[in-house]
This record gives sequence, C-alpha cells and structure tokens, in this order.
Amino acid sequence: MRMLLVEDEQRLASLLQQGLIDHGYAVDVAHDGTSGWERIQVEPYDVVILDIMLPGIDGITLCRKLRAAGLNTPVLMLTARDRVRDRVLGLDSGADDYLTKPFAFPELLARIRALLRRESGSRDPVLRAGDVELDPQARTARRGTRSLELTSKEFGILELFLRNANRVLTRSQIAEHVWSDFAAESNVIDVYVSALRRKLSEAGEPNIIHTVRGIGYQLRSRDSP
Amino acid sequence: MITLLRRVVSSLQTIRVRLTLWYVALLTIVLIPFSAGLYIVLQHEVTTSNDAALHFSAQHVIDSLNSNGGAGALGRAVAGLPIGTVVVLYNRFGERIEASTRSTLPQLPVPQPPNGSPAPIYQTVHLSNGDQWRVLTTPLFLNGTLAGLLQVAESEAQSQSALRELALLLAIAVPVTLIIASAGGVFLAGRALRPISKMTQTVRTMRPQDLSQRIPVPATADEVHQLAETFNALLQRLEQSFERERQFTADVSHELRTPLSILRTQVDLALERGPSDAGAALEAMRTDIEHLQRLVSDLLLLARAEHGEAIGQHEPLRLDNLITDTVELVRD
Repeated sequence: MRMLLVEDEQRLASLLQQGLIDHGYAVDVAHDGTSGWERIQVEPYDVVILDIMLPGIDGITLCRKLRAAGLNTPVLMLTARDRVRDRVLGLDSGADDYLTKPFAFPELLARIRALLRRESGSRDPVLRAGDVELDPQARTARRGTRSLELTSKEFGILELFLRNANRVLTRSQIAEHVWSDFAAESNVIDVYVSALRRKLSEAGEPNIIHTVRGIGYQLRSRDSP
Repeated sequence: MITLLRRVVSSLQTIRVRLTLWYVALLTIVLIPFSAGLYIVLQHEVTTSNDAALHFSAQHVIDSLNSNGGAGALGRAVAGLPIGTVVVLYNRFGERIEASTRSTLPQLPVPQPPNGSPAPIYQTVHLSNGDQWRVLTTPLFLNGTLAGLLQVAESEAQSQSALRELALLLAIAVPVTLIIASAGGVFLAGRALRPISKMTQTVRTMRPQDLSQRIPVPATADEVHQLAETFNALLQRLEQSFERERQFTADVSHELRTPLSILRTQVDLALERGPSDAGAALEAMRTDIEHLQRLVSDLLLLARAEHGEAIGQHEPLRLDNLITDTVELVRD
C-alpha cells in the first residue's frame, strides 16, 4: 500500500519513512504543504499522513482542498497540537483520524491498518480470498494451512490483490500502490506477479491470479465480493 | 455568647461600623461642650440681668427716698418696684430700720456696718427653705451723706427653674441626637460603601481560570469609580500575564513534542528491528537527546527572561557570524 507522508521535520519524516517501509508500505515524503498538494493530485495514494503545521499550505487547508477536489483518500493527521478544539478542527476539515505527537509507532501502524480496513469494506483485520489469508498486522500470509514465504514486494502485491478481489488491476496501478517513485520497465511487475503466482500454487493448488489480456491482472475468488 | 462577642468584634472591624463610631464620637465631642457652654452662658446672662434689675430697683428706691423722705417714704418708694422685690433699710450701725411689707420677708444676711464709702455688694443667698435669692447691699446716701445701707433682694426661683429645665432638655436632647445620628451614620456609611460591597461580590465570584470578567464601573466620577477602574486595569494586566504564561506553556509543550516524537519513533523502530540495529539507533538517539537538552536549557533561559531575571551580560558580537550560525542551525 502506498502512502504520502507530509511532515516538515526532516529527521522525523525520514525515520517514519524508514519504519513504514520496514512494514511493507511504499512511502513518499513531502516536506511542505505545497509539494504535498502537488503529489496528492498526481499519485493515487492509499493513505495520506498529514502534519498540521507545515510551511506553504498548512495541514488543515490541505485536507480541505483534498476533499473539495473530490479525493476520498483516507487522511491521518499527525500533530503536536492536542487540544480538543484542534482535534475537532482537524477531523472536521475532512481527516479520518488524528494522532498527537509524541505517539507510539505501533499505534501509528495500527491506525493506518484501520484506515485501510475501512476502505476495503471488510472490517476483518485479516484479508481473505478463498483459502488465501493475509494478516497485515503480523505480516504473515497463508494458503490453506501452508504459510507463504513472501518478499516485501510480493506481500504488498498480494495485499493489493486481496483488497481489490475480483477487480482488474493494471500494471501501472500495481506499480503505483506497491512502489514509491516507480520508474522501472513494466515487465518488473510481471516478474513479481509470476513469482507470487508460483509461491501461491507451489503445493499444486489452483491459480487464483489471472492475466487479463491487454489490461493487467485479476484475483478471482468466489467468496470475495 | 462567645460567638455573639466574636460577631461584635468582627463587625467592629468593618469600615461601616468604624465610620459610624468616629462620627458619633466627633458629634459627642462637639455636642457636650456646646451644651455645657450654652448652659453656662445662659446662667451668666440670667445673673447679670437679675443684678441689673436689682441695681435699677436700688437706684429707684434711693432716688425716691432722696426726693421725698419722712414717714411712709419707703412704702412709696417700693410701690414702683416689681412684685416680689424685697427692700430692707439699715442705719449706719447696721441695724435694721425698716423693711418693705409687700411680701413675706426672707431671712437675708445681716450686712456689716458701713464705714467710709463702701461699694455695692451682690450676693447669692441660699435660704433654709431651699429658696435662692439674689441680694444687693448698697450704701444709702441721703442728700450727700451716708445714712445707712439699702438691701434689695429678689427670688431667683423662676430663673433657676428655667435653667433646670434647660439642663434637663439638654440632658435628654444630646443622647437622643447621638442615637439618631449613629443610626443615620450606619445608614449613610452603608449607602456610601454599597458599591464597594458590590465590587467585593463580583471579585469573589471570579475564578482564576477566567479573568475576562470586569467590575461594573459606576457612572459617577468619584472614588469608587477610580477604585473600579484601577481594579479593572489590574485585572487586565493579570489576564494578559496569564495569557502569556499559557501561551508560553503551550509553545514549550509544542517545541518539546517534535524531538520527543523523533526519540520515541527511534526507540519503537529499534525495538522492532532487534539488537543488530541497536548501535546506530542509540547513536542517533544520543544526538536527539543532546538536541532536547539544548532546547530545555533554552526554554529555561526564556522562562527566566519572562520573569525578569537578569540573563547574562551584554557584549559586542559579529552579526555576520550570528547569521551564519543561525542558518547552519536551521539547515541541520
């Protein structure tokens, strides 16, 4: 899952970026409101983490602009302001969640997962399709009783497929949500997808990730919506 | 009983009661000497006017005797005198010759026999029956030679009773005046102090968290108005100072949050990554802690400056160095 972190404190931004990448997220960083706004308009982020006090456009204004532009990307506000009226202002500007500094990193991760869960429509913290299960919190994936040994990118692609089951995803969509600043040849995606496919069917199980000719890939599952 | 006493003592401490007490004390100091003076002056006036009357009576008798002497001369002389005036004639040896018969004769003092040319004597005589008389003893010259003494006397009963009535009146009027005055004093002091007790009420309902309240300022330009304005100015300064303090605290907490967040994230990530990564994380954390320490000592310095404590001393410095240092600091 790909996210944008808008934070002007560079040390904190790079630490958070590192931590989030550790957890399999593709993370872009913007250090001021203006460049944040430019990126939000161009890239299809799954989550935006927004500081309130920013040079350029402040977080509240940025969030309002984002909602006014019809973007429904989940927004988590991250700020040193902890008074009730600040939190109310933040949430009322269109943010989905609010976390005050200093925060615990595991809590930030949990809140990001909760936001993604809200987006996927299922409240189950474990993503399922047929006999495939993926736990974003424990970062484990299983097919039936067999646990899958996946690389970070493979895990990210499977998570994307599970969150968008039965939906056709283009190669560029996959690239945008799993890689940050993707600039490679598009056959990199094909390489990762076929590797994932192989790991999913290693014990002779039927293939669930199908190629849609000329468009991209689709995870087909009867019990998933 | 003790609580009542305590209440009385505490009420003595209020300005209202003290003002009244001062007022009554001053009024007492004025009223009592005034009454005493009035009494003394009137008493003196009465005596003087009685003496004048006696003098005129004596003159009248002497004139009358000089113009036509002989038997019954005294009776004729006395006829023109006010009723109640007693006239007694003595010879040169101090022996009584004749007395007017128009009234019962009181026991008057027997005068000394005159020698040379004695002066007239005024005396006040208290008789055994309680009456008080004023007596004038004057030498009687008939055709230029000292013939004897003439005593003219008048009862002072009437004037004495008038003076007694006056004394009684004053004795009643002064305390009554004082009582009315003290009641009026309590009322007036209460009225004058009512705006102040209103102020007390307002200030008492104020909470330290909310200093935006103000005392209502009376329209009159008097002392209470001044007090209210002074109080409001004080409240304003207090409110501003509280607001500054609150803002400062908010700024401090905000300034501390960012380095604390960095530190916390650093720790959380190091715990997740395990011991292999710990050395670098600890190194980074030490830098963060040093930064935090600098921040705290800067804030402390600021807090001291806010409270007006002297900080360091002035010295010349190179502005370009300061700017370069600051730019570097911000760039880091």
